[in-house]
Amino acid sequence: MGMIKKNIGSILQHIVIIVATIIFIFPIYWMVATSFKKQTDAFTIIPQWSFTATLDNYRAILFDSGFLQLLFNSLIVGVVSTVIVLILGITIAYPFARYKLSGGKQIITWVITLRIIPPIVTILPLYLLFANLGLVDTFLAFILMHVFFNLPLATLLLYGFFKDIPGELEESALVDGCNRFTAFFRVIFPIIRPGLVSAGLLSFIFSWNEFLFANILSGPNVKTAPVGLNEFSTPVGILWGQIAAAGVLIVIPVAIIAIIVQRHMIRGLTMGAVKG
Amino acid sequence: MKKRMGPYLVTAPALVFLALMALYPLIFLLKISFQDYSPINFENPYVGFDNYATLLADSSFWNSIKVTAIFVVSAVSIELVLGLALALILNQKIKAGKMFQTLIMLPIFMAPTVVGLMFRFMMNEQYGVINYFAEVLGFDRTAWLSDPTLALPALIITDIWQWTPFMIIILLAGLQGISDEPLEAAQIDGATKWQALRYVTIPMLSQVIIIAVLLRTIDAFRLYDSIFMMTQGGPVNVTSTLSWIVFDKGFRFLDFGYGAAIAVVMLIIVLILLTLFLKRFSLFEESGEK
Repeated sequence: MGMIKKNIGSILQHIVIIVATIIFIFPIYWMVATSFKKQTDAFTIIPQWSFTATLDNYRAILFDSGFLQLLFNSLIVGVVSTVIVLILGITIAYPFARYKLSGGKQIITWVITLRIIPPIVTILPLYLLFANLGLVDTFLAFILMHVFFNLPLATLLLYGFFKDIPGELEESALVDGCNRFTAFFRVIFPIIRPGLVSAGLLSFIFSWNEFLFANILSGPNVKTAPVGLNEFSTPVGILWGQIAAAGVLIVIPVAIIAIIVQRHMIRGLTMGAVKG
Repeated sequence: MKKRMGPYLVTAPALVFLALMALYPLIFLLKISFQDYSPINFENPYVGFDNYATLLADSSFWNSIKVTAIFVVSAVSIELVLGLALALILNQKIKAGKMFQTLIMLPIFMAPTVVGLMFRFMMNEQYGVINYFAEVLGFDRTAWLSDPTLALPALIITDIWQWTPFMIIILLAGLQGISDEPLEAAQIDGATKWQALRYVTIPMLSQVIIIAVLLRTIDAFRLYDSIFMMTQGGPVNVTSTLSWIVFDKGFRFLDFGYGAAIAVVMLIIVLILLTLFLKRFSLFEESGEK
């Protein structure tokens, strides 16, 4: 009797997980399917589950609408801001994790609480400043904003990783004739590589997906991919097929990265929460 | 002495950068909240507390507080309950559990703009696939996003879809860090499954739950992307959150002084909530002791 009850419970659990997974995956599937549909197949009262696939939507957004340039802009902003975030993150996290510095805990706490300021509060005055300096619609403004909003999380993650490294490691490297600089690069750096991967990937993805700052700072010269999505809703109608194709190009590279380096992603997402 | 200065010098550039990017805007924001400020004005005269007085009498401001509160409380609490339930199941022996976890995780990494647009497409009255399913189940087709009673729930559903996975991943990591012994002891003592969950698992998980709720609340509070893509604050103003009206007053109507006053109030609300939250749960003290 107990056996049967246990089995039923286990079957129910499997059913719940399968249903939940379908719900979480379906909109992604639907976007991919829509991106390969002709306009006539996409707008039907009863969904077309099978249809003749076409690349028209991709052709239109890549060759006719200049979306490729926007993806490239997003890539530049993402990569450059992430590299800066990692460098600055190390320079805050490492010294405070390694040495008992007075005020260290307060400064780390302050850096982390910066994440709490709502972005709309920051961008309103900074937009006016950038406008005065002629920086609106430049890569510099995008990169500054993205470094600013990604740095707190990256610092928190890196701080956690550095905290786990015993101080003796660096000391023995110093005894072996390294200076502080070479000790860091030869001994510490390889150990925290997973931390850099986690912090770097999350920082890149958040930059890649960012919309509020990008929407306000974009102009004719510099525009990122999420902002470009707006352009497919024309006064004549909304080009859902092209939006879906653009959505796929924005989402799928990130999804593939997330799946390949899942372990690092989960570690990055949970570390702040689980390790406290 | 010399040795102690080194670390500070290393951190200085990053900290100065953060301070400039955080403090300058706050001071400037406070300043223009006392001005009739617009980039198209020739001059921006000081008007004292006028903007704040306008704000107190502005029904759209009070409406945005209500909308934000409803959104944050319902989205985050539903995400917590669903996330905890699914995390508890995934923590059992589930066949291909890792694969399910990988698939469930995907929404977290999607651009909220893309998610917003896809849900808008799926919620369309005529060709939206969600309406098709509703019809199959015997409900009427509805224009979710232009219906004043359904637009906010539609945004909440979209948020739940995207961020419940975040709750699952964090709570699952928390569950995996808990030792089995107290749970086994409770079962030996004859506790039911529900009692074991309520009195053993949840208390042991409380720290993780608190941080997950805190992180989600911070993000839900700033909701903007999906509003921009799905409803633009409408119909009328049923989805105008605080972030939205700051954007609307400032960047659309170019009334930056008034937008700044709302932003200042928004920041004060966030700081008060955060202080209350940290006092109640004393997060930093506990983690400091470890």
